[in-house]
Amino acid sequence: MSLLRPETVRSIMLAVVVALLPGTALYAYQYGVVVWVQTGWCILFALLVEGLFLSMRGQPLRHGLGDMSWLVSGWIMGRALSLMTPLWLMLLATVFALGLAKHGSGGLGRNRLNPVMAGLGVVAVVFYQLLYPAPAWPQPWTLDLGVFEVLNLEWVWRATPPHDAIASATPLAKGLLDEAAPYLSWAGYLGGGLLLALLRVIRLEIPLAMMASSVLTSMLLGHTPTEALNGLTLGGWVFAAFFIATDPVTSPDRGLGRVLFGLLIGVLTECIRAFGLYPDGLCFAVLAGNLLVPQLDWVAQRCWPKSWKGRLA
Amino acid sequence: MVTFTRSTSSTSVLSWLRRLFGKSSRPQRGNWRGGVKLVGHKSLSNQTPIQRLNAGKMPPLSVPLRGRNPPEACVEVGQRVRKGEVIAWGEGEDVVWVHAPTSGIITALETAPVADLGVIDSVQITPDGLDEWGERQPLGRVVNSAELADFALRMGLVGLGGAGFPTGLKLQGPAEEIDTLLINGAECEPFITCDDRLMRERAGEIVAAADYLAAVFKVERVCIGVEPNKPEALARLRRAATAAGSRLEVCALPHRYPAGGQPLLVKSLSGRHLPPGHLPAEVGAMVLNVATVYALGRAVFQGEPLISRVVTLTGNVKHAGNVEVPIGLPVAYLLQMAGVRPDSRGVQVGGPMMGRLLEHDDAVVSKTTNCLIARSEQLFSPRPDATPCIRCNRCIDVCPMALQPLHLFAAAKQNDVRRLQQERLSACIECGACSHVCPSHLPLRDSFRQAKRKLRGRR
Repeated sequence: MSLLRPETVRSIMLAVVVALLPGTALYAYQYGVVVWVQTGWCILFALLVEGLFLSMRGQPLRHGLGDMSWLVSGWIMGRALSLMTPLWLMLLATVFALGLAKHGSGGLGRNRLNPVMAGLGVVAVVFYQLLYPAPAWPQPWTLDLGVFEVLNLEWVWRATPPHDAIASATPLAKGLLDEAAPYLSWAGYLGGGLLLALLRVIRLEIPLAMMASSVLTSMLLGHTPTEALNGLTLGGWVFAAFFIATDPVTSPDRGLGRVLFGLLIGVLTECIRAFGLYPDGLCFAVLAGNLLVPQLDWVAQRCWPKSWKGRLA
Repeated sequence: MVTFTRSTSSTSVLSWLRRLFGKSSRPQRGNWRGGVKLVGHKSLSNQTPIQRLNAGKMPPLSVPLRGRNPPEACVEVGQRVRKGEVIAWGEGEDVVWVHAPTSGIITALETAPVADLGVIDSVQITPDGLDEWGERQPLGRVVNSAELADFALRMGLVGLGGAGFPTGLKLQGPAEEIDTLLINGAECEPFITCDDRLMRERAGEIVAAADYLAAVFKVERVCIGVEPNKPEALARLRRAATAAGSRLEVCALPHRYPAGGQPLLVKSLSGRHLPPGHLPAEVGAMVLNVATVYALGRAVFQGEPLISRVVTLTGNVKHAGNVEVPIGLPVAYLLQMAGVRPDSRGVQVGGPMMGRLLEHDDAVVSKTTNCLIARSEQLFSPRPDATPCIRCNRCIDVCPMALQPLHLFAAAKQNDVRRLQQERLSACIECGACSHVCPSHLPLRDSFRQAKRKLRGRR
């Protein structure tokens, strides 16, 4: 596998995109063309915003866009926002993500917050009522929407509530009432994440630690082990664990630091899910973890110095 | 740091049991983390025996007078010298004497560009083609370490691995404290095969020299470490050691660059931890390059000073191979001999990792010039422009000294002296593994070199 190991920043980013494909495809299979349309919009916005801020900072465009990091950011943004998000909110979230969180702190590699999570967090807090107008409905009512219907529904002020869908009988007709059915995409993301781990683009410490602490916390909160494990397949948990929390720029540099980082995110996610107001538990947990990275690195260095001692043994 | 016993040549159950229960005859060896596997390109040049130059057709030689305390020329222009006669010497105890590589007439005392050193004073000799030896005085007997050190300085011996540290100074160390002699035959850089061929062809002499050193220093253990990508050299050395009844241990090193780095070699072969800024003697070890040991043997047994060395000619050339070259021979003569192909771009002196580009076309070979590589687009693709660090941590993974190159780089960029010291810049052995794996193509190692130079300047 080492022969295939990506050796430039661009090939690392393209590897992430390839790894994102199966999960996105599964999601699109369940929820329809809207997934591709939304991802496409976000990638387009990411390209434009990245180009705009690069030229504002006086950086060479070809170089800055050549690393393809905008493609990954846009893709992840498209998948992190809830479906049927209005276009202007997508654009706003992208501006917050790439413009403020990334280029505002000095460009690629300099940001302390995960850009996508920062953008999503701002939008989710400020425009909560527009983003989640009705209780999220787990059934894939969007499956039957064509491209034009999707585009039509995106040029709106507030997200389209899925009221029509509740009345429609499509889920019944498609036999999708099976409880596990709405959350298929996690398998695709898991596969993609493991591929990245094999290519050694990401490390498994963070997802594994997150998994352990998520399961344990939700058991402490009164769920059965099966429910707790099932909770990992919900709401993009796998996606966030493998593609968002593992962002090397915003995660600790030492193994022990990464384990602590994952543990922290898992606990916070479950607590926000259980007691919080917002549905974006993972987003806020990752942001909190990002802020603590220097401290976690410091702790890791104090607890487990890997370096060669300066003294004679 | 995890240490564990590593099986080497004999992995029989019996020796394993003995090690488990009895008093361990072999000190525990250490493993080190990090390092990179590099494409070797060794077979380009290690297929043919070491060639010798025809003394009759030798061009004028410019023998460099090197050293922190360089020797003074003791010959005059027009004077005839014979091979092996002293042409420069000094009183100080760190002055390495210089000898005539062949017989001929001194034609100039001037500066000359040296392939791996820059422009320094040198003595120009025009060979007379006779290659006539002067008087040779072999040492031949076991002396004490101070005498041997003095002898090594008078015979012009320096470390042939690359740093060129006077061997005499190394041998002056506290002889009582040294209980282990470690010989570096790692040759972990790609392309270079001069030590490989030397170990294959002159294993007997190396073993004899190692035994002699072991007798002088009365060490408990003498051990040579070779990277396992040189199976033939390993086999020849083992055979030679057995044939001579020597107690030289022939050990395979981990097959990772930089296995030959001094702290890592000490760790692999003796299990001892050599802290940055300390000499191997402080942990009871003496480390010598295999070519240096061979040259020492030649000086002790034949009375021949260090006047030639094996140089690898490889890369984009028609006849790659190894040549025994008199010190001071122009590089251009060697390149012409090797037949550099016209599409080459420049010549690399030393290996691709630690070496550098040849600056002067009329440079000469010094005692530390181990390899000349004709660079081509294929073998040395130009390094793409640097992009920002994405903190992928690969540099941390490969750093054999367990440093954090990405933080060091940030500190070096900001000239943050305190941070550089906190991140222990001084421990960096400048192996370049971090620069090699960096997906952003950051000039990590070069920036550390610069930062070190700056720090030294402040003091």
